[in-house]
Amino acid sequence: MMGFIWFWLVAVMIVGYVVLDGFDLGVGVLHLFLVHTEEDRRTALASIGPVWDGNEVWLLAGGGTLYFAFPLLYASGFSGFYLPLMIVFWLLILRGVSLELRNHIDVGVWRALLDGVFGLSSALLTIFFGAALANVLRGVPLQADGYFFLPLWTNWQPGPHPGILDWYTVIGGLVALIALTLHGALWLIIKTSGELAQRARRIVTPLWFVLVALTLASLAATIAVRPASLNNYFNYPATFIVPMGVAASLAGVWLFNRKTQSLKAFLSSCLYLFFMLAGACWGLYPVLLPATTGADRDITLSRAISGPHTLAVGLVWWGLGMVLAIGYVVFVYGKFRGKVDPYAGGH
Amino acid sequence: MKVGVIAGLVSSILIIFPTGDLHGKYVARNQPAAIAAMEGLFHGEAGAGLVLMGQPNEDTGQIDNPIVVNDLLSFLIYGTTKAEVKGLDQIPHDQWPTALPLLYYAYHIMAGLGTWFVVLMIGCAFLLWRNRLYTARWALWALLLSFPLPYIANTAGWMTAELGRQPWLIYGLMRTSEGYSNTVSAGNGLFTLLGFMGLYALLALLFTVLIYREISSGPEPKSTEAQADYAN
Repeated sequence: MMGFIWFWLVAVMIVGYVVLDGFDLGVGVLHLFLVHTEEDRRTALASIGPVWDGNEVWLLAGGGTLYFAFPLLYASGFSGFYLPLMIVFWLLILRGVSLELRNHIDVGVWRALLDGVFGLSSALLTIFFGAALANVLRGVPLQADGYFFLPLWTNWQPGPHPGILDWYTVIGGLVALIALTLHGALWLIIKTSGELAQRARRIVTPLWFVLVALTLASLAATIAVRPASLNNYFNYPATFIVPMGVAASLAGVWLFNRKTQSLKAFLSSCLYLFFMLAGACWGLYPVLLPATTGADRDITLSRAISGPHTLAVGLVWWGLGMVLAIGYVVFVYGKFRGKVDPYAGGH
Repeated sequence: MKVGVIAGLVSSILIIFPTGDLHGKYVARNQPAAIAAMEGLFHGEAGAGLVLMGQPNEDTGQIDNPIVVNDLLSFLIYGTTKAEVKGLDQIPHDQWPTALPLLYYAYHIMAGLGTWFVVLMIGCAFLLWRNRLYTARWALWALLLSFPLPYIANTAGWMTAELGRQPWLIYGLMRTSEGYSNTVSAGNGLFTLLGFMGLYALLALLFTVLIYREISSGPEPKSTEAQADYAN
């Protein structure tokens, strides 16, 4: 029971992170392609300026509760994925620093450099996150003691001896990149006006088509790579509502964007991310980290979980923390509601 | 300036007493090897002295060129000058902190700087009370030059804590050599260590440049009525 609760609590926080920081990363990617004038760049940065830091808190919340509730998964996963994890840390630092310090020195080459760092680190983060999720879904070569090591690539096949990169995880990285860029574009439409909003609205169309194609490819690929993903769905057929939700939310993004209902389009994109991730989690449950070296070595919920007293106490504290976190989200988004003024300064 | 000096005075005293004092007693109770190593107490004794300065010599088990205040260590830890303080000779050698000289120096740097902060703040508070602080250039220079010292003291303090706990990862239960990730190779670890050091060095440089720019551009000019209050 506790295991079930905590599995979904951790999943909710990770979903929350992807939905919230997703558009920050998406705006970062677009910063390289869509946003050219100084005014536009300040506008784009100001649209995520007040909220990006609070959004990143959800990553810490997700990671922290993962450690708390599933220490074996944390130990195994973060040891095996050590180098990619460290690179993600560096990218997070670089993104944050470039975002905050860009306007502090009034020199053209400084701003250009930090814009580049911001865009590149955001893009790489989306790819890393997508590839990481794909690695988890595909499984890793777990040894009997629960540890594993992955080279960067082996033969690009997700067989029994995969590398961090194979064709499946590359698809995962691309899905994340396109989905979060689309998410960021929809955010920009809400928060900006004029020329920038127009360009963002126009880029939604090609991004949407690529995303639909990639979504279908990734769903088919996941079933091919790990057929056991479908077990939970067939055992509880009502949960087929999840892939239907994916399709419906994609349709919603298209329709609401055409009718220039920007808030509903953005919320549809949030739902898309929610359904994709929830679907992936449901495909995994109760396995936390599958093993390509044989199902007996999977890290399952029952193997990884902390003691019941720990989890019960943690639930109380988690509740208090969530009240604070959600309260803050509501407060800060409410305070900075509406279109952005690029020269308002101070984030 | 006034706020800074008063806050500095209060906090530098609070760091030593009661918080630092309580922490020292806690460490002595729970990590006897750590306290012996950081104080350079090679031989346990009743009425142990506090070594103010000196170099720990692991080979001879002595402090070279010591300046010692007799009985003070026993008093600080246990409240009486007759108390027995456990020395390194009463602890098995494989449980000694592995980087003993570094631990000793880090601790003494931290304690020494902590003492300097109290002296500096008392001096400046006294001058402030006598309304001589703003014209005593030597005091202002001392304040300015002491600006990086809290960062150094902070880092030295953390080094003391982390070096003192060695060789234990979980004190008394699990050694560091038993707890690290087997699947992370030494090269991997070194690469990421260098990566972090490089990134932090870059950020420290950036920080210094930006702070310098902020300070050299000066504070915002206040309105004319408030300008008379500026000196206060």
